[in-house]
This record gives sequence, C-alpha cells and structure tokens, in this order.
Amino acid sequence: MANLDGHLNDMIWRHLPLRNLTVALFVWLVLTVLFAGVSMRIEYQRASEELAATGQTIHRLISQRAAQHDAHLTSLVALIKAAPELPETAIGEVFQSIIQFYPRITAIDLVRLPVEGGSTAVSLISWPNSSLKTDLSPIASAIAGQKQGEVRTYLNPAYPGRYLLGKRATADNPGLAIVVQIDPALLIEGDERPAWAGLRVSLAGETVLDLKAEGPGANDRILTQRHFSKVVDSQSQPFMVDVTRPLALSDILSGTRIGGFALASLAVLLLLLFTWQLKANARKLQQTAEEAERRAHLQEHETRLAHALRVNALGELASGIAHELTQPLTALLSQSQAALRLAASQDPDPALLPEALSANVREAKRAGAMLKRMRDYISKREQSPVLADLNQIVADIAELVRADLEKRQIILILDLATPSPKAVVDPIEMEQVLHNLIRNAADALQDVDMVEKSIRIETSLSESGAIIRVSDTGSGIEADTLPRLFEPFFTTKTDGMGLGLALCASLVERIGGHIDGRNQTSGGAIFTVTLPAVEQYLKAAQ
Amino acid sequence: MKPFQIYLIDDDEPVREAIKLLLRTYGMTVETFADPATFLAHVDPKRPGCILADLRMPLISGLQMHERLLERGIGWPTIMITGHGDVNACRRAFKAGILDFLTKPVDEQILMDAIQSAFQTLERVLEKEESRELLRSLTEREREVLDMVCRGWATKEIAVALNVSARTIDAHRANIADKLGTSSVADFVQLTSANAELPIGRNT
Repeated sequence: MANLDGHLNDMIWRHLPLRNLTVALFVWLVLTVLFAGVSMRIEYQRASEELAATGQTIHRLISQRAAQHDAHLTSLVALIKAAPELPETAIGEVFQSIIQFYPRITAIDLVRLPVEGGSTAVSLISWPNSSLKTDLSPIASAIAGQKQGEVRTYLNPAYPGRYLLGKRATADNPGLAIVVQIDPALLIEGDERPAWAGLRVSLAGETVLDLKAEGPGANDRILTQRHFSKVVDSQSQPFMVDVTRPLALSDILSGTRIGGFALASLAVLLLLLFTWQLKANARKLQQTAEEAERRAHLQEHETRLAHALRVNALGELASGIAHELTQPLTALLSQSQAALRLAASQDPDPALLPEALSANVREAKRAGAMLKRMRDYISKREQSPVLADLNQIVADIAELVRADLEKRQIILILDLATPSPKAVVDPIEMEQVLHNLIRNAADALQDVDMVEKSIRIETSLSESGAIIRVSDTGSGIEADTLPRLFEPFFTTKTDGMGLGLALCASLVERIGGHIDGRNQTSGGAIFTVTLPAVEQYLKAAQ
Repeated sequence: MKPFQIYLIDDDEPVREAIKLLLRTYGMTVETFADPATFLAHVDPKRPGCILADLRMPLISGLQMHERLLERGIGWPTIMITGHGDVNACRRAFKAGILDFLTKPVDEQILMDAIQSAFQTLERVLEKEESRELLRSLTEREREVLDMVCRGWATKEIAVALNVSARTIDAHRANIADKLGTSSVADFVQLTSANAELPIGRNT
C-alpha cells in the first residue's frame, strides 16, 4: 500500500509539469499585481475622501471659532459701551471667565489707545493679571486706525505663537479698544485633527499655525501628498486652511493584505492546479489501465487465435498426412499380399520376395518419418528464436503442404539460394507464417481456370536481410484489398476469419522482420518476408 | 479370358511398384506410368487394356485423363484408386463413366474383383467395337435393308418399300450375311442394338 502511495506521489510530481507550474505562477503574479493595483487605487481614493472630509471639518471648526472670536469682541465692546464709568471689576471678571472657558484665548486687554502721533498703548484692564503684561504698543497705532466695528487680525513678530484681534470701542469711548490674544495652536483641539493630517493655517502668506503630519508611515518615503485648501469665510480672520495628507507606500499598500491575498491566491491556485493535475493523472491512469486491459485482451485474443490457427492448420495437416500415409500403406498392403502369393507360389522368382520385403521396410520407414514430422509440428514445445536455416524451414513446410497442393493440382516450385540464408527465428512460427502464405496462394489458385497453377517459394539474401518470397500465378490481389491485407478480421474469403495475414505480420514483426504483399507485374500475388539477416542480428547483439 | 494389358498410372513410385508386383503374381502384364501426360503420350489404341489410375495427381487428374482418352475414342474401362474416398469425388467419377472407385490402401481381393469386372467390360467393349467395324463395312443400301430385317420385315415387304425386286433384296441379304458372318436375324438384332448402345462411336 505504501509502495502504491509512493508510486502515486511519484506519479503526481513527475506529472505535475513545470510548464503548468510556471503558468500557475504567472497567473498568480498577475492576479497579485492586479489586486495590489486595485487595492492601492481604493486606498488612495479612501485616503483622499478622508482628507476632504477632515479638511471640511477642520475648516468648519476654525470658521466657527473665528466667528466666536468676533462674537466675544462684539460683546466685550458692548460691555464697555454700556457703562458710563468703566466697571473695571466686572470687566475683569468677564475677561477671566472668557479665558477660563476658551483656553485658546490666552489674554484679553482693554487698551487706551494713544492720542494723535503717540505709540504707547496703555492697558487699562488686562487678564491674566500677571506681571508680564503684553506690550501692545507695536500695534496700538494700527488699532487706532481701525474703523469703528471692524475686527482686525494682527500678526506681529512681537507676539510669537499668537495672533491678536483688535477692535475699537464705540464712539462713546473712542480711545478704548479690546485686544484678544489667541493661541492658534489651540484653534484645533488635539483629537479634532487626525494624526495623519498636516495642518497649516496662514493669513496672507504668513504662517499662523503649522502642524506636521505624523503617525504610521510618516517616516516612510512619501509617494504623494493630498491637499485640502479652503479660506475661512470670516471678515476678521480670513485664514487659509491647508490640510495635507502625505501618502507613503505603506499607507495605501497594506503589506499584510497584499501578502494575505498573495498567499491565499497562491494556495487556491496551487490547490486548483493540484486538483486538476490529480484529475488529469487519474484520467491518465485510467487510460493507461484501459490501454493495458485492451492490450491484454488483444494479446489473449491473439494467443487464442494463434492456437486456433494452429489447430486449423493441424486439421488440414491431418488430412494431408492421412493422404500421405495412405501411399506407404497402399504400397505395404499390396507388396505384402504379393509377397504372400510369392511365398505360396510353386515356382517363385527368387529375387522378387526379398525385393518386396525390402520395399516394405522402406515404406514402413517412410510412414514413420511422416508421423515424426507431424509430431514435431504439433508438439507444444515453446521454441525461442534460434539461428535457423531458412531453406530448411521452406523445405519442411513444402513437405507438409505438398500432398494438399497435389490434391489441388498445384505445382510447388522451390527456388532456394545457396548458401542458405540464415535468420534468428522460431522455426515453428516461421512454418506457420509460410503455411498461411501458401494456403492463401492455394486458395487464390483454387478458382482460377488455367493450365499451370503454381506456387513459388524463393529464398534470398539481400542488403535488407534474409528474404522469403511466396508468389502464385493466381489473379492477384484486388486494389481495394491491398491496403487492408494485414488488418485483423479483414477477409475476402467467405469462411475466413481474416486473421491469417494479421498473425503472419505479428509473428514476423515480433522477431524484427517485415512482411509485405503486392501484385506481380506478371500477374499473381507475391508476399515478401524480410527477416534481419544473421550478420545484422549478431551486430545488434554485440 | 484373354489376358489384357493393365495400365497403372500413379505418381507415387513405391505404390506403383507394389501394385505392379501384386498384379504380376497374378500373371498380369502391367505397364506403369508416373503421370497421366506420359500415359496419354504413349497410349496405343491398338493395345487395349484396363486402366488403373490414381484420382489425384499433379497437373492432370485421373478424371481429366479419362475424358481425354474418351475424346480420342478410347473407352477402355477405368478403375480409380484414391487416398480420399470422399463422396463428391466418387459421384463425379461415376458420372464420368468410371467403372469402379477404390480407396487406398486397396485390398488384393477387391482389386482383383474390380480388374476381373474391368476385363469383362473391356471384352464387351471390344466386341462392340468389332461389331461396329462390321456394320461399317456394309453399304448404305445394305444397312437400310438390315434395319428393315431387324424390324421383322419380310423380303417382299422390303422390296415394295424400297421399290426394287425381291431378288435384289435377297442379293443384299446374302451380302450382309457374308459381311457379318451370320445369317441369323437374332444375331443381326443383337449386333445393331449393341452398336446403338456403344458408349463410344459417336465420333466415327
């Protein structure tokens, strides 16, 4: 069983051809690349969409917050305007509460603007109430120049990391202004910006806030960068919001996913290939088995046929032998009766009696020899090919068929080469072949009405080998029969099986010979059996 | 009985010699031939004999030989001996006018009986050939008169029928008796009827 499995394995791997494997691998590669491409495309799309959505959100948040700042300023200015005297304590409390609620607002100042030409802004109320008060002088004149109700953003190197919003008080207190300091870094809270997003907020080309993207892939080589840009719709703070998303290969190309797909597809492909191969092998095995069975069947058939043919030939032979044996028996009987009469005679010729008796001995021996030939012929001994004298084989078969041919009034002509050609054959099989050919020739002559009916057997030696030719003076072979001569079960005889010549061919070819049949120009058929000559045989054996 | 010649034709020499020896012990004259062609070439119609032939021989079979002999006016009795006593061959042989059909090996007694019978037949054949020769010696008018005599007509009736005198008819009858060697009407009848039955003679 293990042996069988081993054999099966061996078969599979031997029959899993490199070509199939190469094709499968190629398909796999193409599939994987396609998958990677499509996957990248989808990821890229998704990243772009995510960026757009995030950009919109950030833009909306910044816009909202800008609007809040405007609202704070408006309400603070209103606070100043409402009271005839400045309610310092209340204002301070408002400042404090605003800063408390809005961490991005780092400081609020109520400033007295300088009069004409001055540049010193005096902070009247300020929160946080620390000692490190911001000097608002650098922007004091600019605020003073602002229109009533206008909120303006100030970016000044004097306030690093901050931007300032200034608004003048109403006409009731023209010398006053509210200045709010904002930390732009807090415009967007930590979790409002995904780590992958880079954010740059600028005003008229000056950067207010620049946050780099981080997170996975940030250190990778950036393949491309997606941008989202939109200006905040605010009079006071018309920031340009730039959200960027750098895309590294690892962002859009998931190694695990591609790898997973590659592995899965490879596995599936190999499985398919293997299954297919198994099926193909099974089919092949089945075919081989069927072929073997068919061959075995044919061989069995052939064996049976060979036997049938032998038996058939034996029947004919028996009839021939019976005829042949009657001759010596006739001579023996008549001679013996003559001898008896001579012995009883008064005045016998003294020479006649011994003559009759020695003739009897000769005849008895003749009958014995015939029986021996017959025994040799029918004996079942398995004879392997031996170096045989073809002339001898021809002579033997001629002796066997002579009686039958005489009966049919057919002359048998032997034209044997000297020295005799030799070949390595099984003499009995060769006799069978010749017997078949002779019988066919005799049958061909049967219906022919002619004076001389003859069969000629010729041996010769040529370059192609040792040759035996059997020809007859019959009417030859029909043109449409010629190509099917050696086809099994093809026959032109009414009672034939169509196996004689097929068997001849197989017997001759088994020993490396060749047989062909054709018509002679002089009429009649000629069959040529070409056998490997003994020299060729010896050469091949060395 | 007249000792007739025996012609033995068989392609097998030992068989030929054995049968020849046997027949010789009976004091018969045997002439042997290895094949029908030789026999046909040597056969002499003036030396009648009984033919003993193998049925199956190369080239010309016993039956073909028999037919060729008949074509040449030789109707001697023929005995066929064969190794194959098949029914078809036997029927064909008898149809062709073969006297007997024996199978090999042939027993002495059967062979001798067949030969005896053949000799008797040959004797009759020869007699008939003789009578035919006699009849052939008659003139046309004598033959006419003989036929009428055989039918039992009287001389006068014949004379009236042939429109000649009775004396002329008598003269014819005398000539006929002279030629045939008998004046018996019974002999005449036997002679003419035997002649009509002759297996041969249609080619004369």
